[in-house]
Amino acid sequence: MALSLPTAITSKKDITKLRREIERMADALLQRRVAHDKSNVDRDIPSMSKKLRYTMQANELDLNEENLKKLDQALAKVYDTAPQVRMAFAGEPDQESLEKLISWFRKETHPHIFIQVGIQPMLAGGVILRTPKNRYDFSIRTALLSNVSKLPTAIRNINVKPGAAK
Amino acid sequence: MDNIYGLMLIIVATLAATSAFIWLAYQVRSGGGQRRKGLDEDLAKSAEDDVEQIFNDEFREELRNRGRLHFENILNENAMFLQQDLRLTTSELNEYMKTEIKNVLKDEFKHYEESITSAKDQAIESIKKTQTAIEEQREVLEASLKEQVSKEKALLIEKFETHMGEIINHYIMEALAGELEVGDQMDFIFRHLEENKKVIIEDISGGA
Repeated sequence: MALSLPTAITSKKDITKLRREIERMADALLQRRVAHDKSNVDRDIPSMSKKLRYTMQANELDLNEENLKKLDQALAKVYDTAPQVRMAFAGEPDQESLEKLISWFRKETHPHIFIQVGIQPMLAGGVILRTPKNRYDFSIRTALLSNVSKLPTAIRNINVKPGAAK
Repeated sequence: MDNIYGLMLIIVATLAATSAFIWLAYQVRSGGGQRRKGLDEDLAKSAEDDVEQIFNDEFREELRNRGRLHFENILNENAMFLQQDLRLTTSELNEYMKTEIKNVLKDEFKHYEESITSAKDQAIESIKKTQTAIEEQREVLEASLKEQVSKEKALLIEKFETHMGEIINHYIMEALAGELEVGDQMDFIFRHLEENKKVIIEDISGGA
């Protein structure tokens, strides 16, 4: 099955959680089927999380045991084979930003790529990207340090109006 | 004065008696030989008797007393004169001593005053020289301090300019810490991702 991952799934941790949920959901569906077969009772199934719902929707899958099994297998394969990059931020990124980033990576590099998020406050801003082979420093700290030599000139060229210092 | 007259009287009486005797002796001599001799002898004896009569013990005692009295008077007068002279001399000596001592003291005080004035002038001169020296030292010190301060200032400015970048960076990073949302940085991040897209893709594709 050619799995299509939604942008809500950004990391391998998400895959793990998703697979646990799929397992719970599959059990619930099994129990419901058995209960229906035995005593014609419709048991309630637990509600799906957004991530599972989006994944099912992205892959056009209905909620049933077979589809859940296929999805789980596909997710397991992706977990083992998909590339991963590490991105260190100065602060905790919000979900929307992460989804934008993962969308870019999946569009430009690999459709199943994951992002492992790290926090390094000393970066001040920007990001440090670690790929399997390289390290890319896109932090504000490095940008400031690399332009340190321009500061004295920039400060000297500042025209301060009289009385403006108040 | 009476004593002088008394004394003079005695002397005149003595001279008269002596003259009488000498005249008598001359008359006897000029009168004859033998007779003169006997006469002379009688005259001489008579003169002697007369002298003895005139200058008897009482007269002599009187003369002695008058002489003693006169001598005492003379002594007293001389003592009085001596006392007066001594008093005068003492007074003059005192005055002289006073004058001399005054003059000497005056001279000494004058010398003392001159030496004090001289010492004062020297002290003032010395103080002025010291003041001038201190002023010169102060100027040298001031110039040296100014130079030191300028050097220190230049050094500090140089240090600051050298480390200004780090200081400003540190300040900016401290100021920005936790203030920038990742969402606000997305343009910055994507710009860098786009600039390095090719290399990133090669890395990931090669590593996948």
